[in-house]
Amino acid sequence: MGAERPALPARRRVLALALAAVAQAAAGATPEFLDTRQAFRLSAEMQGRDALIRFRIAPGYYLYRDKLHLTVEPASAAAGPARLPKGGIRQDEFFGRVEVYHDALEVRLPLGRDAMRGQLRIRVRSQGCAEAGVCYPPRDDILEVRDGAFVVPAEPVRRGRESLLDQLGGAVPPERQP
Amino acid sequence: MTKTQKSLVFVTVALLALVAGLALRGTGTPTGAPQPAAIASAFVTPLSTPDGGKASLSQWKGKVLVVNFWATWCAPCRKEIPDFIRLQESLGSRGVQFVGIAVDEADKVAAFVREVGLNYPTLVGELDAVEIARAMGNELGALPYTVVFDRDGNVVQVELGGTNEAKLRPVLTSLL
Repeated sequence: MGAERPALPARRRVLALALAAVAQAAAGATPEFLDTRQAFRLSAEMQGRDALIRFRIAPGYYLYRDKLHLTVEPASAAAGPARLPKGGIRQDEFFGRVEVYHDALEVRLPLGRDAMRGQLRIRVRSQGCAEAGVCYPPRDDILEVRDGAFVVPAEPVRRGRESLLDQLGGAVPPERQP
Repeated sequence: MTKTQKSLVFVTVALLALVAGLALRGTGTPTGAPQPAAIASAFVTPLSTPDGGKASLSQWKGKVLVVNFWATWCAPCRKEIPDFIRLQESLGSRGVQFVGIAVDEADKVAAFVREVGLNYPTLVGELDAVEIARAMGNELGALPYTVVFDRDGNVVQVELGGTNEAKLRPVLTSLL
């Protein structure tokens, strides 16, 4: 994580906010809500034989713990179940007490010795909402591990209309780790 | 320029920008503009019904149509549905037709329809439903998303995020 940004003087903050409002309106983009990829930024890295899958969650957004599923293909490459951290409790009007993640989330997925050679895929299914009142369809991200390292395509995978995964949020490459 | 003058310029520019931003925002829709050709195609795209049949939106042409994209897993969607039930009840005989399109599984939708006593039809889909939402201007694919059509099939209002009876009723009655 980077150093905290110094606070801007108040009047510059006002100016920045106002300009951002103009930019948003002029672009005709949805001003209120983020795209799922911006709301829930996925990254991954290997630490020893554990795959660390991280989500950086934008302020005002959350992911459901019980909707987070990781599967390894082939299944034999996994050395154990994914370890999901404890989430915060959200009292939902319809779903009761549910566990959710805000801000950041790291899942540890132990892989077997064989995972260090050859190729495997980790499918990350997630689903989240914005506090301000929209929810995003379940999203599948597919991460590729080759010879014990996450494969980062040279160019970002663009959202296509061809595959089911793309339609429901898209397969994204893991972000490069610093 | 003195420090006070500089401050004044900053504040003026900021205020002007804010006003311009709000004005522009007020005129635009909160989503990508729905494309007439894409909408025409979306109307004839068959979707599943919760009982396993097929139907498309085209059968409700000529009505004041409210298409609501929703899901059982979406709390803000559940919240607004009782308002839609009330509006369908009170304005249905005058030509208003609500139709749900659930991005969900058919059995879950069928159970929910019984649970809340949904008094208007709902279709069910996954990719196809998301695609129709996109055609109607919902670039993010987020839910709930509600589109109001007049009797000629023109988009009158779109709403990303929850809406309610107080907001919708005047729009619908103005179209009758």
